[in-house]
Amino acid sequence: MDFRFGSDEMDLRDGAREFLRGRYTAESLRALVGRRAEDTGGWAELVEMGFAGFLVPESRGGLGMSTEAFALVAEEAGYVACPEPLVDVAGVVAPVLADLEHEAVAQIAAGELRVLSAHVQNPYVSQIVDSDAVLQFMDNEVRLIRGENLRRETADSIDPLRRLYRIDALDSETLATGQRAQALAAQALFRGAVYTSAELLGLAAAMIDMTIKYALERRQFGAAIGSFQAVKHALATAFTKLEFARPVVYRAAASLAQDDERAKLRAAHAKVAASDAGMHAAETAIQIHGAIGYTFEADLHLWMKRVWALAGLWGDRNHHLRILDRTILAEGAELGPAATFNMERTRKRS
Amino acid sequence: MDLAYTSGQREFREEVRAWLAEHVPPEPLPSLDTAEGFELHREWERTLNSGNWGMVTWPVEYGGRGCDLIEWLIFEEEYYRAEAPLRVSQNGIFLLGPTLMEFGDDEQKSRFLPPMAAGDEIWAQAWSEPNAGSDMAAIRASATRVADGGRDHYVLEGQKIWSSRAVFADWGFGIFRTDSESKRHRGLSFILFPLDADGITVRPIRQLDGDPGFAEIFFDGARVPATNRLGEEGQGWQIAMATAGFERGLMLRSPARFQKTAERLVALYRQEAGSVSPEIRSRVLQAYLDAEAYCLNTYYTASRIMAGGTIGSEASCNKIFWSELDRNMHRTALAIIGARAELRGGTQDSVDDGRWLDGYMFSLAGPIYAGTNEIQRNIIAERCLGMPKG
Repeated sequence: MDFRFGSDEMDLRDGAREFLRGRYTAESLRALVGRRAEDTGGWAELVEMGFAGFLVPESRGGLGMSTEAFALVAEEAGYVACPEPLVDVAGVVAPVLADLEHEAVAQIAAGELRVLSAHVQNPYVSQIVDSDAVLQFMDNEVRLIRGENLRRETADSIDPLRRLYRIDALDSETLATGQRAQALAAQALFRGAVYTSAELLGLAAAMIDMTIKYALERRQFGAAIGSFQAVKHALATAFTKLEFARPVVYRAAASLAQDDERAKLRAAHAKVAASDAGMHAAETAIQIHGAIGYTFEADLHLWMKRVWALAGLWGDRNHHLRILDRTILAEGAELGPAATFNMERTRKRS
Repeated sequence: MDLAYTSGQREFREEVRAWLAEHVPPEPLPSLDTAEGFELHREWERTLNSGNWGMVTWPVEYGGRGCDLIEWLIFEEEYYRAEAPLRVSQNGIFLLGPTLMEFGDDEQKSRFLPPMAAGDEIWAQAWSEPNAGSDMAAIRASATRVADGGRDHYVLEGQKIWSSRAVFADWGFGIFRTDSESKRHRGLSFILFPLDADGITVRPIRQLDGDPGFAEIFFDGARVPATNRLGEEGQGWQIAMATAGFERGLMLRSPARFQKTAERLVALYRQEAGSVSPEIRSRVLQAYLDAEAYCLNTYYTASRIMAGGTIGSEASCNKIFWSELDRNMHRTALAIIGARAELRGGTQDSVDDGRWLDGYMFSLAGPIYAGTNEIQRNIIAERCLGMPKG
């Protein structure tokens, strides 16, 4: 029983952190706003670091790393409000295509192809560029839609770094139907939920750090506002909420490698905890920033808006609370410590 | 990350479960804040000790089993599963014990640790004074050293307050000003004293539930040997801060306690489900999730500590989280119980023998003791987040 990351996982985290914080500065994000630039070049760099194939087995050209290590990388992406569809491509799509042993997996890992996800729970696909394909998870079918067969209509997100599209297919390749399709869609949902939760942890941490910096610099009544107890307490409360969401997300990431009913529950808990921590951190941040936090010019809004968007993705609060409610409050539910670490063995997906 | 229990850990769990199944009293004991209940809980400490279960994380040489933190968590999970009695020796074993091990000399350790583990000496904490609660550095109780040809002693003067169970306990540990010129946190010393010494008067204070769970302790020329001082003169503040760290940290409130309460809350909800609003239902669910989050965070922290990490001011996050969770759970229970919430245990129609009401009252103390949550938030902001002191 050891609830820690391995040293190689931490090394990957550190590598991701160094790259992402260097590449995606607040200035670089602001430069993207309003440009509606479609290809920032950042994706190619992520591919070069191997992140597109992070979860793809080495035999198919990927890094073959663990789900919990990817959660750490997703958290780092969230910290810098990275606009690249890393969770989508590497976290959700690539593992499913690897499971289906589809040829596209190696292409994704090599950076020759980018495949985004569409899911019945998510009304829009984000970040499509012309060459991208879409793996669509529908009620009874999983299908691959190549770029040339994709039709799309833009929708406007308040998050200026998210380009949203409603999609339609002129033609597609059916990869699974019936029960298999449903199972894949469910898996996609809880992977998306867990990794998005990890992004939300990163976003929350970044907003808290921004707010700390602001509270130390901003002076009123002859003192830094961070010296006022009301400000301290608000920060401490947001920090505590984040600290207690963190292990829930990591736990859920670890359990993605298991193919069981509890993985779904853990994903649901993670999404609720991380979304709540993210929303709370955003509200605390804007309150402490005061009026300047309400501007387009300050960086804060970019992080807040990402939280607002991600909180609703891969199953909103309502969706996941219903899953938890149905299980935990059901007759004969297994509860308490026995259910927390339920005689689990870590069994990595091959 | 390996979230499977080892076979050794599973065997340990089974061993604990089996022993507790054989020894836990079939009926709950009377409150440990009563004379009768206190002694019955002491007897339970002796029973635990007879099976060498009293202090599992202590080194074997001091009466423990040398268990690591994960084993401690497993022990607690089984302990709460078995609904075993509360630990009347908690101030001693969770607070003073580790403090003694870190700051005591060999004679002090061999004098005090074994009877502590055995339940023969139960300890009360004498920290606060009427003018010194959150502002502990404002304490005034003094310990004046009197030379006596190598058998020096301290003369204790002053008053302590809010000392839990001091009216029933055997010994107390407290912070006294040994340097009369000193101010604030300087010049303090950590001193152990028998509660039945001449010059010490313990006056019970009645708590909300009617029981004398608190006490004032008056020191009027009480003499204790200088060898009852832990650490150096003037080191009292530093030692007290270490004790406070133990208090906030993993030992005092293990997650099993709150997971058990959450399970009971779910059961209560299910009992009354037909008449409970969706709003209350969602509070029950949230409480359960938070109890699980607390468990996960504890295992996460325990794993880091066992690998050589330390728990610093993030322990303050812990304290805020469990105390607010506990209050939320009990408040939700009262909402479910409704009109019968005010009924005391023993009254006909009281729900679960008034346990939820008792638990709610005790949960109101949670955000206050072990450092108020306001102080904890100050600590988090200043020491974890770098905010300047006000």
